[in-house]
Amino acid sequence: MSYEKRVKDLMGRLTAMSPEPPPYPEEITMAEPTTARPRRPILMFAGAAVVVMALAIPLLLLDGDEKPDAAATTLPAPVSTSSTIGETSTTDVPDTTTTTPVVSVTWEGTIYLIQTPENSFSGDPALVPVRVRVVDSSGAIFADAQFTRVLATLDELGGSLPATFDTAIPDDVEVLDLSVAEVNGEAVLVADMNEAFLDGAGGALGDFTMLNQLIYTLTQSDPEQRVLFTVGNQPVVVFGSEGLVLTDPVGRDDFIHELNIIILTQPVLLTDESVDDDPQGGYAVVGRSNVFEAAMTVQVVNASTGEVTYEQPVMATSGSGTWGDFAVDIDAELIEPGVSSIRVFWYGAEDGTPSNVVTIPVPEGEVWELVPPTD
Amino acid sequence: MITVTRVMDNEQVYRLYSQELTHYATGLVGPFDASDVVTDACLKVFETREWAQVANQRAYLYRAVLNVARDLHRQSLSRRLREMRAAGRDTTYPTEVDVDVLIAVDRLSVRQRAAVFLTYWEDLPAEVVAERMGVSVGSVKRHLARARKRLAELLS
Repeated sequence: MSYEKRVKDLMGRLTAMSPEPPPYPEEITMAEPTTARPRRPILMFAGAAVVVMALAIPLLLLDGDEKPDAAATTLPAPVSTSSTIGETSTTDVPDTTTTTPVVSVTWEGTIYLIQTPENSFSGDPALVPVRVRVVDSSGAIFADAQFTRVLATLDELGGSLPATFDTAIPDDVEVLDLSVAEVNGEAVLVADMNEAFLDGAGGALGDFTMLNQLIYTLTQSDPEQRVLFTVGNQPVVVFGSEGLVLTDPVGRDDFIHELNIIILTQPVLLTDESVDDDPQGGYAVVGRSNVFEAAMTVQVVNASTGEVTYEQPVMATSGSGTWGDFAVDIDAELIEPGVSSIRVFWYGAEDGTPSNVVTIPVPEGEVWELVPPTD
Repeated sequence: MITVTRVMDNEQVYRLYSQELTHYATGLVGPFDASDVVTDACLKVFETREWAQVANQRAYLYRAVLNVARDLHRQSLSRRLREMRAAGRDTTYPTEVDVDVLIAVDRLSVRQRAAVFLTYWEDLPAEVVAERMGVSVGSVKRHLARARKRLAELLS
């Protein structure tokens, strides 16, 4: 019996001793809403400015004859802890020309973009998570600087994001509200979309890609969680050009077969902790694949010269028809941020050429800076 | 701004997760104190101001159970085992208490137990284990490696 099976047996015997769950503790006293939490004085004025200027946003998102739900219209706080996706913060920007403080709004988070892989037989897009930072220091406040807006308006954003990264999400698609609800005994994330969502992205592949981007981005804090898409708080019966039925919650595995057989599931970031058996940390390359014999290769390439400076074989947990996980550290000394790219691929069984190649440039500072439109 | 709206109340959340949390707590502190750990953890969580804005409630509750298990009765299982040994060989225990298993688990720290339980019993990938433990993926792997070393002799 393998070590894993013996440990599993041990855990099974331990769990068999588990008592019945204790009853719900009735004596709980609920805390006051978090809006009562004291904030640091230096942020109070900026916070008030942001709240006042952002008050119009939920009203624009709702139909005129609908009364906004109190809980669903929570506005961006100066230092927000309420957004599930990414982090929003504000800072005062000294302005000597006016007495009115200028507020800079920063949103930073992970979004899942797509890339057309090199040497792919199917042409299915590869999923590439990237850490981005959107900074609006103009004072106009890019109130929508959150993930759906960033995903949908990628073309409008200036900045350093590589041209090989793309999005399938049309610019009029929005997530209006997120909630957690119990569906058939399962806690699912409910994403209430605007009506533009129903049209999909144009074509079956675009529709699936759009769903994959949304699902992976929404579930970045809990990859096991599933998402129920709704429009007007009603389940989506017909979605996209193929009339896909989305009345049940969907998760990361449901449409994974519509993606490149190598995808990344986490942004490539520097870590001082190991993600594989090598005890030393480095740049973590984490993803899923479904390649022959689960055998892949990770390379570090000088993006300007094309020179391969490092190559390492990687084994996924499974392959040849089933999806497996892979994770590898690349020593930080081997990578030059802003110059190096990481390539993940498998050597094709037919002629040994790198296939289904996913290429991730490593940005300086680990985060791609994006600039919202000025108008 | 996208905000999580709390649709389930605390009792619904509790009903949804209490069973698996109790199993988890059993893996951390043994069967004797598992119920207390779950109750204490949920009481603490539900009373915090942050709870209303927690996005991943499940992971948050798992972290709370782990914290309570570490804070409360750090030597609880060892103490229980000493008491059981002191009671004598002839003492009978409830059939559901598997002393050999408890002795094996007692070799591990609470965090190592958590990593082993979530990885090998719940079959969760390292990223999710890390989320539920509130540590990095690298830390999870270190806990697993150390647990493996401590359990190697016993399980060989």
